[in-house]
Amino acid sequence: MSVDPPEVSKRLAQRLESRFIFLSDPEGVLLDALGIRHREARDDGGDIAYPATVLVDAAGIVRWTFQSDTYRERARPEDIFAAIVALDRSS
Amino acid sequence: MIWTSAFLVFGTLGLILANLGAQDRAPLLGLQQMIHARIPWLLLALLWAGCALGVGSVVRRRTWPKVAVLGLEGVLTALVSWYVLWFSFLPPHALAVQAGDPFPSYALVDQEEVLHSVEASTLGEAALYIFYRGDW
Repeated sequence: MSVDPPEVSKRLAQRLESRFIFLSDPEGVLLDALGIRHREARDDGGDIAYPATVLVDAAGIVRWTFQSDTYRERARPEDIFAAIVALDRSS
Repeated sequence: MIWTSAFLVFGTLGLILANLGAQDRAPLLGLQQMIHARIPWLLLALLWAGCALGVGSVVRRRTWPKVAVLGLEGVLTALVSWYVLWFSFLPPHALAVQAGDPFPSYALVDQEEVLHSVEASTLGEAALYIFYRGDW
């Protein structure tokens, strides 16, 4: 999920040879709903997302989240997998 | 002592660069901290220790090559310290959802212009949403 338009996401997905879904939220509708709009943070003055990771279960309920107060830091893959395993066990 | 100092500072900077170029590789001596630690204290400690050794060496016997090496170490260490301790910090913010809350509904297109909604995407199937700052 980013504010990039689909064509930019498409180039990124091709470059990464990724089969993930790259959702495009140019207006930041979902960013506002989640409180993660970082205003005027892009070089051209546009708004972008604060980095965040959200695991949602099959009923649409949030089960695990990660956010950072620096833009360097990302969720560790092992933490994400642990959350997915925990979700799998509880369902 | 100036060689130990240079080894510490430039070695640490080299490890940072090597890790940035290979983020998916197994952590190298735990130094993949730039993207996995809020503040990479180990990296900072190595850099600062290297600079301290350099200062000690220059104080003992001052030669221009030593001063030049120390100067370069100091500038690069200051830049990394400024970046990780100040520049890369985001303004205060808080995610509006926590575990147990419903994920907000949305209708957004993906990179192939296919429309997705929380109803279609997550009901019946779990989903991991990764919010990133965009590709540039």
